[in-house]
Amino acid sequence: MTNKKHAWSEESIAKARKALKERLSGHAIPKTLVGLQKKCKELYELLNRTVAYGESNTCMLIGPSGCGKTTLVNKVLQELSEKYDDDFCTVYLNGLYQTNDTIARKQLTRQLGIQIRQNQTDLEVFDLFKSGNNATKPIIIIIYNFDEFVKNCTKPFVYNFFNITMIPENCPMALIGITRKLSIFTDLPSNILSRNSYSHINVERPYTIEVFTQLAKSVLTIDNSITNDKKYCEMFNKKVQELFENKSFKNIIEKIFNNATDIIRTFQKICFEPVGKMNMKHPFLILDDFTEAVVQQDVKIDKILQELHEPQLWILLAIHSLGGRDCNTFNFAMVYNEYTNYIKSYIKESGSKFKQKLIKEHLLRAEFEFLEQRAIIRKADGKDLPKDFRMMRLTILHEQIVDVVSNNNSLPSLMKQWIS
Amino acid sequence: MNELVEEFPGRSRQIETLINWFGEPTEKTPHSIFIHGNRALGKTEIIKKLFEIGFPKHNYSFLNCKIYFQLDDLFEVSLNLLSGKKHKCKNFDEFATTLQDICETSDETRYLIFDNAELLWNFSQTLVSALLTLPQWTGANLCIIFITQVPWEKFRRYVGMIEPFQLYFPEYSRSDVIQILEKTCPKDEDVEFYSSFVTYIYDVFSDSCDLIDLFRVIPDLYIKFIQPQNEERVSRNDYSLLFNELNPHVELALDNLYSQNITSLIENQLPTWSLYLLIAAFLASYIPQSLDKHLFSKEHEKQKHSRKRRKKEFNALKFNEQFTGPQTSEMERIIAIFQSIYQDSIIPYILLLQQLETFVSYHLFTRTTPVERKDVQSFRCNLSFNYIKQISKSINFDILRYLDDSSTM
Repeated sequence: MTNKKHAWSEESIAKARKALKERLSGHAIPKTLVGLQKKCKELYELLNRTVAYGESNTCMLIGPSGCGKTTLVNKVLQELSEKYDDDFCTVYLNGLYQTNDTIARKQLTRQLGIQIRQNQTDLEVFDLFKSGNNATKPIIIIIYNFDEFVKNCTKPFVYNFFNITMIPENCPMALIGITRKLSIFTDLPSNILSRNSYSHINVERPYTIEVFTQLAKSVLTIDNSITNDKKYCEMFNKKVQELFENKSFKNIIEKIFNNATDIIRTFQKICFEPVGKMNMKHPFLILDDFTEAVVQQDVKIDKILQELHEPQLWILLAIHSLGGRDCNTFNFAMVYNEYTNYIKSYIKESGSKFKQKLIKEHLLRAEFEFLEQRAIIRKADGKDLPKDFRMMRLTILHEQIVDVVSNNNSLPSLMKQWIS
Repeated sequence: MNELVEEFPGRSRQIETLINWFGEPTEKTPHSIFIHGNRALGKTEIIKKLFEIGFPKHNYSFLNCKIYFQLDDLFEVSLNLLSGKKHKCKNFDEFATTLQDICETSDETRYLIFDNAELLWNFSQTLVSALLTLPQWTGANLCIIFITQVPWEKFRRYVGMIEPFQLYFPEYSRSDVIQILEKTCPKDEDVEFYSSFVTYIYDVFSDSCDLIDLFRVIPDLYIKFIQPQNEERVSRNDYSLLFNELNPHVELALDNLYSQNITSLIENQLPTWSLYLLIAAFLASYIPQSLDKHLFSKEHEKQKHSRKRRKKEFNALKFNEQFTGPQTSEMERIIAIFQSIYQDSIIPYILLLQQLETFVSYHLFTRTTPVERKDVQSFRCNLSFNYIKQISKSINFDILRYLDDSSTM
């Protein structure tokens, strides 16, 4: 035992763990938005105009998933409510949840009803808006998955939404649409577009690795607001700093940045397990845990293919062979025929001495169905035929089949000869 | 925890990860977990057991998506499990709102577990992405768990969904499976003796069988295995002889693994003429109409097709017959073929109709025209060639005459 060893209190470790987990599961609102400060200011000013001066606005937030659209909105709202306390209402809608006008209206009045008048929940919502005036509380409406919302709700309903923001006598209202679709403006009907003030904020994912590293570091760094144990915080942050200087950790970060679509969530996924492992024995984050988590989270389809049983690989090979003759959809009868033909021709060529056991039809059929269950093959059409004849197609690439078979040394040579 | 690891050999890594993720009851968990792996690897069992031991009853809802076929049911049952009260819930919006209310009662994590999660796609196209955004949307301490055989890349239908934490269940190693199978050892049996038996069975079946199938076949085979020994023909230690005696039974078990023979059932219940009707329908489904005259009319010898044309037709036929499955054919045609191949007695038309109806309700035939249209009716035969072969053998009917005739030309 070195004298560096220090007994950290269990409480501070638990607190740090809990706070970090909250961040990693996407519930906490970060203190600073790394890389998004400018957008944050933009949105804040827009909403501030609504809340403070009663100006109605519409705005679209567009950006790929995981770039921080939701966090941006939450952050701005948090700042606003710190400043104005209860002087405005927020309504959250989600295109995935409120799937038609009635449900959307109900939800809207429910959320407003709680915030404005307790007992008038079923009032027609647009009358409610129109009954307001400049003096009424400003309303901020946030619509997630805006593209779905426009798709599911009727056009007049969406139009009314926008229309209200145009009429100055109505109560001040800001409409924030959040979407991943870049084409949102071209998808909207033109009468709705005319009501839109065309303002939009493009949120981008961090485009340099430096920004991303900074962001990642900010996720793992703790401060005094989490635990009062200053020494622990210092030590913890020092360890985090060490981590980020380590070469293999840098590699992990780089890999995520280059390969993942949703880089921040991918990073969170990898951090979760090391954070969960923090306890009295290991009060800090350990590099080995990270590398292990990377391996565990990185389950690609190739790995699954490698674990397939031999009969299933035979099926895939037969499909591959059919594909070579431009048969891209297939059914079990064709696959089995292809398989038996190959084996028979092999037996013929190699003479009677060699006897490859032919897999029985019903066993292979069962395997065929299991492949369908695992979505490696999928139905090609909706025709209701006996199951041997249902047309299927492959969901993986032919190259993947070749790779799996040629890289596995424990398979019989007969299999490999088929693809060569 | 140790208990679990002991009960599920080879799964300690997965159990550890899960427990790590769940952490203390009030800590946040991953927003969603995607558990995937091949069939019969203990995914469902481990989750079930883990929650049974480690969590209060109202903190999780375990739903098997195979059981529920309506969205309302899915929502209502899961709300009921979480709160212990009945809720009316018609759409996702209400579900989210009620869930939020339930979660507000305490800080502890609630778990929504969906087994066979790939079936969620059948409910609606947005349900999965909506579920994945639930924890963020409600702001509650909520964890969505999907259990499925489908890998994530194939599970998500479009890019941009929130990506859940993945937990992969790899295949068991050989020693894991044998360890699991040894647990089925009867109490009065010597473990070593039993383990050599299961090892042998595993080596035979491992390619085409999963664990569940093994559990199914082992008890029967075990009885067969110790039979010679009980009859005192073979000594306990003479393994090679014991396995030799066992082999025919193993073959049989392998044959019956995924197929059940229904032919005897059909044969015993039906009169001979209706077997002919089955054959007629089969022929009608597999032989193109253009060949009818050639095959079924009595003067077909006189017919002269140009050889080339016939060959072309038969090549097409061969492809159809083997690979595209049965075609639909009109009832008149089926009956005409029936009358051509069955001439022992005259069967009243009405009986034929009745018999056809019965076959449809047995799912031996599929009706391809609407039921209301009695004037033109079409059917398709769903029987496989093997069944038809067996049936025609039992009534001494040479079906190959019709099919071979066509495929050899």
